[in-house]
This record gives sequence, C-alpha cells and structure tokens, in this order.
Amino acid sequence: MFEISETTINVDELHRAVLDSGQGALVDFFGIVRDHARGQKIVALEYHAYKPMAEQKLRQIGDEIKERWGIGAVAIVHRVGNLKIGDTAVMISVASPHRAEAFAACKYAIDRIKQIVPIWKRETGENGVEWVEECEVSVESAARQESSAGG
Amino acid sequence: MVFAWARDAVGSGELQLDLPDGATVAEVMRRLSEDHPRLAERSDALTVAVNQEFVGSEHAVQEGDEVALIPPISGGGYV
Repeated sequence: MFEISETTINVDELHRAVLDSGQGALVDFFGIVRDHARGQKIVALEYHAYKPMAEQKLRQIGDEIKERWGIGAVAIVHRVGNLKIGDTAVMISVASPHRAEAFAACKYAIDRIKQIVPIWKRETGENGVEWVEECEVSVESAARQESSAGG
Repeated sequence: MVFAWARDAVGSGELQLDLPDGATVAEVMRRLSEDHPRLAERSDALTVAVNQEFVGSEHAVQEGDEVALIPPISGGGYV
C-alpha cells in the first residue's frame, strides 16, 4: 500500500496491509505536524503533492527495501491538503520476521521520502506564508538504489 | 506541470510549450525562464522530471511528454 491521501490516515488499514502470520515484528513510524519550525509558531499547514509521481516514488522506496532487506511488507501513506497541529502527515508500517530489519527499513523509508518524493508543505506561521524547501532532489540520488550502493 | 513556489511564479500549474524536435530539458528551462522572470530568479533550485522520472538537463523531450518542474521538496512531516 503506497498512497497519497486526502483524508485522515487509517492506522489499522496499514497494519492489515503488512501483517500476516509469518511476521514477528511490526514497526510504525508517524511524522506529526508540530507547532513550531525554524524559530516560529506554526498556525496552519497544507501539503501538496505531484500525486502520481509521489505514489510511484513511494512504491520505488518499497522496491528498494525489498531489494536491500528482503522485506515485502511495507506500507506508506502520506497526507495532502490542510492539516492541523498534531495530525499525522505520514505513516510508515514495516513488518518482518525479526526486529532489526524492520527498524532499519522503517528509518530508510522516512529518509528516502525526504530525498525523492515530490511533496511540498506550505506553512502559515507568525511571520507569514511560505513554501518550505528542505531537500533539492538530485537525479543520482533519486535513481533506484540497489543494495550494493550501501547505506 | 509546475509545483509549489514555481507554480506561483508561473501563475499556473499546467502549461503547454511548442518546442523544436530534439529540444532538451535545458531548452525547456530557458524558454520558461524567458517568459517568467520570477521563475528565472530561482531556476537553479529546480529539478526536472519527464514522464514522472527525474532527468538531467541534457535529456531530450518528445512530443506529448509530461514535464514537471520540481522545487526542493518538504514531505515527511517535521522529523
């Protein structure tokens, strides 16, 4: 399950997508909307995505995890639209027979989302409205990473 | 297709360009920068995707390709 969603993320749905009787570990990651950033109070926030490409890049991250750790049970959902403080912006679930790979794969997924998935946040803070820029995408880093590439 | 601040600079999320055969991504950027000075100011920060894959500036575009200007991204929450 690799989705850009306009509605609240359903935790159970991600768990259903990754769990089966062969899994001993389930690791979730939640990215939450915080009330402050870059030294100012955040009032409101919108996420925008290039939806078809963003979903394709989420699937690519799933493929990379499969290649690197042999884990196929990965689900990622990222919100778009208007969010409030405390809302979940992104949720990642990874299930595997043992814990070490599940933790590693989950961390890899959030790091890669920040490198290659075309999603933007538009923040309204005390100092006005701005498009937040965090990571300039490089063509090399966005290419599908094989496990021999390290990391 | 144009996103985030680049969309504000161009004034539209989608536009069509007539280009000569074999035009590269660099030429697409040059054309857009001429028409949209606010885009030109910050065009170095853009990465280009063609048909939803990131490409370099020498990539040649074909008729009907979907070209997207991708400003620096900021997904994944605040972590």
